[in-house]
Amino acid sequence: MTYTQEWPIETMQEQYEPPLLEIVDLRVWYGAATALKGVDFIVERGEVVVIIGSNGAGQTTIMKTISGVVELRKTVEGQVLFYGTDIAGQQTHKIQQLGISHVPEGRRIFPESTVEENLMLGAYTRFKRERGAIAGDLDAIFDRFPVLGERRKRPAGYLSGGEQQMLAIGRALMSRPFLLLLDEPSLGLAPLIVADVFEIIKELAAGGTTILLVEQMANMALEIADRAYVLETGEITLEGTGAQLLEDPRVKEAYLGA
Amino acid sequence: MGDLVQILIATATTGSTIALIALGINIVFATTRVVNFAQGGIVVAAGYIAFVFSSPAHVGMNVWLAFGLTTLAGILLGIFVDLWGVSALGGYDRNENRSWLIITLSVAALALFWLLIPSSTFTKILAMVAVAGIIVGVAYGIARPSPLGKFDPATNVGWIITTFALGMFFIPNIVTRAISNSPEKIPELVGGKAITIAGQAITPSDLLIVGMSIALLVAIELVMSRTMLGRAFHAVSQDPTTASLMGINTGSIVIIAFGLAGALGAIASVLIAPKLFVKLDNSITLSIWALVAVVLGGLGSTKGAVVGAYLVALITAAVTTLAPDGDKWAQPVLFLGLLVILRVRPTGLFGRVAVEKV
Repeated sequence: MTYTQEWPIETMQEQYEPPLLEIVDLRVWYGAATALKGVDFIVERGEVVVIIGSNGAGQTTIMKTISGVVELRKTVEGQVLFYGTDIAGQQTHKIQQLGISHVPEGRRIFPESTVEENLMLGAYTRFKRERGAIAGDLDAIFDRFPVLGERRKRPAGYLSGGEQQMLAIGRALMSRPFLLLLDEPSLGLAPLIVADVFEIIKELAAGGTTILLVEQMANMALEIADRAYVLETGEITLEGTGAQLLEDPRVKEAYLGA
Repeated sequence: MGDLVQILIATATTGSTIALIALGINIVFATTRVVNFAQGGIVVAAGYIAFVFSSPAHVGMNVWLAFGLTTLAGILLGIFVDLWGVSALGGYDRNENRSWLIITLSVAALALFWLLIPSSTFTKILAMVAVAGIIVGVAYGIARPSPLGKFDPATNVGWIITTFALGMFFIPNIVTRAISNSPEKIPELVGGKAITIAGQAITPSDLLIVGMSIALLVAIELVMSRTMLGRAFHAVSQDPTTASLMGINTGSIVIIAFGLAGALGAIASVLIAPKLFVKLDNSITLSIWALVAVVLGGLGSTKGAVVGAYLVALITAAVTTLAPDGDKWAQPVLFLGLLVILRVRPTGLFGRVAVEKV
């Protein structure tokens, strides 16, 4: 998907490919409380971009604003450019249909639906046009997460926390997104399971999925990041490659416990 | 023997009708957590609408055609209740102010009745619309958005007043003023000879009620358990925000739920008309039966609603037939039964305690 920028001088006409996701001066308030004070960042195709920060710095607000989740007394200013088109303020289901899949904080699987139904719901918008491809995708998910295959007919509420996280990621992948938003995938999981989850994210990244990851496990997140941002009380205070931030003394002190 | 057959016939026919109405309440509850008290009002309104369409004194069309059009009217009434009584209180997924919706609909209703109603009764109608408007306005005023920023029936209780006012007073009163104030009859959908068993007649209408209700119940259950639309319904009922992250338009799912409930109410109304007549009291009777059925079976459970409906019909028919002065005792016994069952199983017969979200 490319679009041609018309320059005034014909000879300067060129193909311009906007970044997959570009956040421009994003400001969000909840009533009188400011959550984001003007955030700018970019996610290019194929990248893993990580936003680290302490609890309540505004990461989840960024994620919910990108995917259009409306909350009480929330005011949004600024732009969320997806392929160069401003999608801020659009309805959540329409944003999902553009190819943004959001794995929400706390996983939010449908506990009373079976594992398979959860995954099928991930492919809800593809069902009309690409019905034939869905069965294959379902098998691919079960290949990648065998534990989900074993429990496909069980209500998802009976899965363990780690299995639910796999399900939430699998469900998001069923829509074949252009951009995967992962909000705190390690939240509430045992260390061993967290390592599994990061292994999966690494695999997805290697397979070419573009990922925006919000994480408090700064160490592990920065290791898999192509680029990373540090968010502090609604502002981006540092940015760089994952390796750069891992070495940064301020990051070490505040987030890596060194 | 004759008594037993009579009880069975009454249970099968009334029970099937209650099951359709109860299922409508259930579908709306599952998707919105709102108990739609307006369902009984829709049933009565649909009865009078079917009367206008089929009666030779009015439109006088073919009774099956009237049946179809009434079902359509039921869908519209269901959506009307959603827009005016529930969505107007704040919407499901957004926090936008919907007062414009109430104002627009009120003006539209006023204009419509100005055209429809003879001038002598207009002042009455005006007063009624004004009262309903005030009720809706008060409900809207006390309704406050939930901390989650979406419509939350638990904290935003305006729907209790709005659906009750619309269903018990507004819709049935408008319809009875506009059409008729007395009990009316709708021609039966099927004619033919009755079968007699132990001195009790089973008419083709009776068989139609049971057959069509069961076919509808099975069809809806299949749609809910086998299709993508059904899965979307379950998703919205569990977690509307996450459902919208799946690309599901939660607003239209809710509209479909209310429309489907309205259609089921209208179908039930026309089917039971040969037995009950079309009259204003049905609004309360059928509402109570259907609500008891739903609570008895367990709110949100389809199986529960159906079993509850037949149980309500069985208790009512048995007490009415067997006890002296039975029709006076039917409702007290019914409520006693409800109390006993809720004491033993607080979530109803098939109600589940929600699976804990980890």
